[in-house]
Amino acid sequence: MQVSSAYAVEYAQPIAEIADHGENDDITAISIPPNTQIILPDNGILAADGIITNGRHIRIVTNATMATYYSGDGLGSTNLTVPASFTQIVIPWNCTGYITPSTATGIAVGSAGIWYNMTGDWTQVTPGQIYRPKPRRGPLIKKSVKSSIKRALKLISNFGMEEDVRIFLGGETIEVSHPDSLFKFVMTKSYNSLLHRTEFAAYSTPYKLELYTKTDVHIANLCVVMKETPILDQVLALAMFVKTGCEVDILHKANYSSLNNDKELRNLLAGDDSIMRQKLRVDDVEINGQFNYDIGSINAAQIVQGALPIEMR
Amino acid sequence: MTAYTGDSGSYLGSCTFLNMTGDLTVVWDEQNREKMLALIKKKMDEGYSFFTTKKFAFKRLSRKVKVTPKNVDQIEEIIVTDEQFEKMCADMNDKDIATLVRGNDAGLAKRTGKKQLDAMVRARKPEDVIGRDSLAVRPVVGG
Repeated sequence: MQVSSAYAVEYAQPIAEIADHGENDDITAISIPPNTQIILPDNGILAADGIITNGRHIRIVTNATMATYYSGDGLGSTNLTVPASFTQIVIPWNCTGYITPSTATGIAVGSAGIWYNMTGDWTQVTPGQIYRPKPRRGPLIKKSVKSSIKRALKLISNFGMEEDVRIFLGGETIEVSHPDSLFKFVMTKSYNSLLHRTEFAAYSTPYKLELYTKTDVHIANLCVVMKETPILDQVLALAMFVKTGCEVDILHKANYSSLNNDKELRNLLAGDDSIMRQKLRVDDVEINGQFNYDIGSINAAQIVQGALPIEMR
Repeated sequence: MTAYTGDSGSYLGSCTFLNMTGDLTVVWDEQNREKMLALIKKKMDEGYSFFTTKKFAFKRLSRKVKVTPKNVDQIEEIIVTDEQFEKMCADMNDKDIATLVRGNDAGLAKRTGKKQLDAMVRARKPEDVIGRDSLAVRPVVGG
């Protein structure tokens, strides 16, 4: 029998009483079946059939007949027969009522704690034996996310990349390059990114993307995104750009970071491509050994005033 | 609703669009050529990239075909319910394409064939897409 305040209606006074603790000793024993869960509400809420507490009494109602079994003033005599097998009684965490049972078997909730008696001796329930029901948890992975991943894997398989994606999903790096290119693109899945970057579009690359020469010299980290496209589809799309000889579209659109310090190398790789020269900062000057500025953006007045001491390289 | 009748050889072209819920393939026939050209041009102007190839094998998706004991062996289409169809249109997250599909100017399809990436070619103008099978990638931007 379970009572929850979500399903109960508050009454102003009890429906009926079989016994009054001060006048009538006619107390009925109730046997609670094994694994019965009794949740005691903390605010005196009455249920049609169930258990009521109102700070002074606990009343059990069956078939609209109410019986008082406990009295807050200790005058009541009650018998709750607890079977030998474990019975759960869930007490709200802020319950302030207390019950004084008789010497018969039962459960007592006192200000000092909770006690049970199955053998004639009262034993205090240790904190570990009292617990609240765990909330139900939803599915760990949304159905739509699962479906999107499955579709992406199938699409990738259609293009013969299933082995690459398997390695990618395992956390290892995969490389994509075109035979006629100086570059190769190295992709590494970020930890714990598959589900999130399938469900949500973002403004950064959903995995780690690095640009290398084919001689394994790191050039830069790249950040490039296909709008509103899940992570695996982006892997396929990037591979498609590279394999079809269109990697320059990626290189021109990407943002660069962690540039290789070798300016001569960057100059060589950029060639005459003005956008690549800008991306690789080939024509930038170093100021104070730390910053790279486009020479055109330096404020002449700042230089004259000495605000920007320059160490030109 | 079926985009066209006849065997799969009567279609003009197809395109697989990548979106947040997975890929979706639309097909069209000769009578819808101009409308599809306009759509492809609009998408290219928006920054979409189209990669084309020789024809894939695929199955058409039909919204409504009454299956009877007589015709059950002859149906070569994959039948989807109206609810599934509407969900697929919604999943596209693209009003232009959804409008064409709902208006029967393009149909839905499910790709069944395989292609190598090396076989794909980047299309630079709508005319390169209209008569071929293709894959459309949403605009590429720096992150």
